[in-house]
Amino acid sequence: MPKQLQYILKRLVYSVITVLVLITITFFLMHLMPGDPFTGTKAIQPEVKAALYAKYGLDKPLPEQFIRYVGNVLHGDFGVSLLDKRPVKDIIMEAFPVSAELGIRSLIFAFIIGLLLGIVAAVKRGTGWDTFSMFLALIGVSVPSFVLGAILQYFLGLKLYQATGNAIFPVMGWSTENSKLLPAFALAFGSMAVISRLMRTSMLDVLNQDYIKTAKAKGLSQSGIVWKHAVRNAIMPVVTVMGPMVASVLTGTFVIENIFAIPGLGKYFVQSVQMNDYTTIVGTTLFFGAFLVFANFVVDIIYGLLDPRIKLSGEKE
Amino acid sequence: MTNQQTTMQNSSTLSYSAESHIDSSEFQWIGPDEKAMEAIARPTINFWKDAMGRLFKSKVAILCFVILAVLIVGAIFIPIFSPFDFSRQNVAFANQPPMWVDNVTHQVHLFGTDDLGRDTWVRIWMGARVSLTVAIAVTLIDCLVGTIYGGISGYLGGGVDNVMMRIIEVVGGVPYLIVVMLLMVVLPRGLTTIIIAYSLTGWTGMARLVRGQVLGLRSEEFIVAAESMGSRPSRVIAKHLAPNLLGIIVVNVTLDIPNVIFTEAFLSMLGLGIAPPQASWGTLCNDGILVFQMYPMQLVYPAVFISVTMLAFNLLGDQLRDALDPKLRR
Repeated sequence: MPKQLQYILKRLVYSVITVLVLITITFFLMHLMPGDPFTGTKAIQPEVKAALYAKYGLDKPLPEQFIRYVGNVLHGDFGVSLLDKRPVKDIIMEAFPVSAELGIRSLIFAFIIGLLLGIVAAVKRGTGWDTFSMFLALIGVSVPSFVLGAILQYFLGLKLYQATGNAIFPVMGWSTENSKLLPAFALAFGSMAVISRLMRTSMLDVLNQDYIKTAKAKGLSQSGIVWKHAVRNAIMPVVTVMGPMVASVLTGTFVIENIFAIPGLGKYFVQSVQMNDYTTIVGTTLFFGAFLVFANFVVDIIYGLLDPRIKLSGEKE
Repeated sequence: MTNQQTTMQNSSTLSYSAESHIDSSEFQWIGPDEKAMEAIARPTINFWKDAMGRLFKSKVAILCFVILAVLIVGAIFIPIFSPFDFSRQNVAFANQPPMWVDNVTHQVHLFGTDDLGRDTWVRIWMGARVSLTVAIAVTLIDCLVGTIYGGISGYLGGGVDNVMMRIIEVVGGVPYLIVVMLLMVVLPRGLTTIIIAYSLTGWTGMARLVRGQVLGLRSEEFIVAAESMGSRPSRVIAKHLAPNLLGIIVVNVTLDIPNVIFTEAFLSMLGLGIAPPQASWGTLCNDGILVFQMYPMQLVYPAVFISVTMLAFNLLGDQLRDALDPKLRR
């Protein structure tokens, strides 16, 4: 256990450093931006400007400003939205749960369907099942999620509504259960494809192992072999890609939210990009980045605890 | 040769002795032909010839090559020879269907026009220029930086490796798209910005991969042999390490390109793409989604182009990996 604790501590230290690097990057990027926070439509008198500078600590030397900024961010203070004068923190608190729900729904979806497709393809290798799931996987890796989202919206949302007269799948919004299905599916499809491909390869590998032959020779049932012996061993490579996958699915929410008009972080992000609302842009991105680092940390730890065979020193190569 | 001769001699003396006598003195011992014995019967096939031979046996790989060649040639020449300009607006001709012939000049708009009356066919090929340029440039930069970084780290090993890997842990831990988003917001919009932003943190994957390979190769006998015979590091790297790394690098470059194309499209969807009137496949998709419910073809065309390109690169990467896998080598 001390070795595992050591591993967790090490990952934690990396995550903290990474978040600090992220904050540093944002801080200096903010300084690179043209203009300053008080350049507005109204001309400000020099004295007022100086007072404002003093109030927000902008007259201090850069290192001091930096420390102040880090402190603010760590307290969850991302400043005030230039657009509607709300604290960015409030926007995040309101929008993030929606994004997170969409992301988690998609991840669950991607994992369950992806694993099943991969397992079926490997067990029924060379049959129509195999061809079908690999065809799906091929589409999944090459069709971007936003295209799929738009297509689903058009056919299952609009056309189905025109054909049947009742909106089974609402085209946009985030309220009823049904309205959450299409966005989650569109977002999950790409990851599902990756998982099913990985799972198929890994299952084929495991199914050729000697212990599977032994299990067969003992007279175990096909389902017993597949579920108890093959899947458990084959699932590890899939767990390894979980980290990047969680990141890509959560980032993907940004685009999907805009297509389906879901009031998540992504929607606010695009709005603020269009309106040049820099504090909101930087605040949401920074928060989201830190969250991704945290998610990655959790996945790393799960991975370390799940498989006793991996070296806990962090050398994955 | 000589063996055959002697056996022939023996058998003939045995079976033909009754009809005509063949004396063993009619034969003479010419000795083994050293040159013929050592001669190489078939042309030598080195690793790359072998791999390419295997690659081009696959119809899928050839199809991918053809698709990519058409895309690249099209992106270069179609905008030059087209009668339309990608940025020329004509609001009277807005949102026309495919194969529409305009009633003034009687020119055919192959893919119709967009909401500002610009020819979609030309815009798609201009978009191909931007998207493919970004994809190839970014991948090459990532590959170059990653290979050098990973190579140094793996080759020197020890403390240097330790420090360099710690840096990678941190840089690679920063979410890629987040940094790109921030940079795209701050820097002026343009092709150079896109390329810089994308390649800033993208190289870590390649660096890790190369470092792992180099570490593995360094303990191989042929490297130890080369070093013990007094090869300078530069020679070891150029003659022994590089050829063995090339395979894995080529495969990864091929598989990275579709990722960059996707990233570009993704950021364009967030409004962080190339500035209009310039177009990329991503911005075209973004424009298309806005009018999708009324004019679906405006999304379908760029989406098909993106998908086919990503598919071709992905499949080609898979085929390359199979072709270069030493385990499959006969």
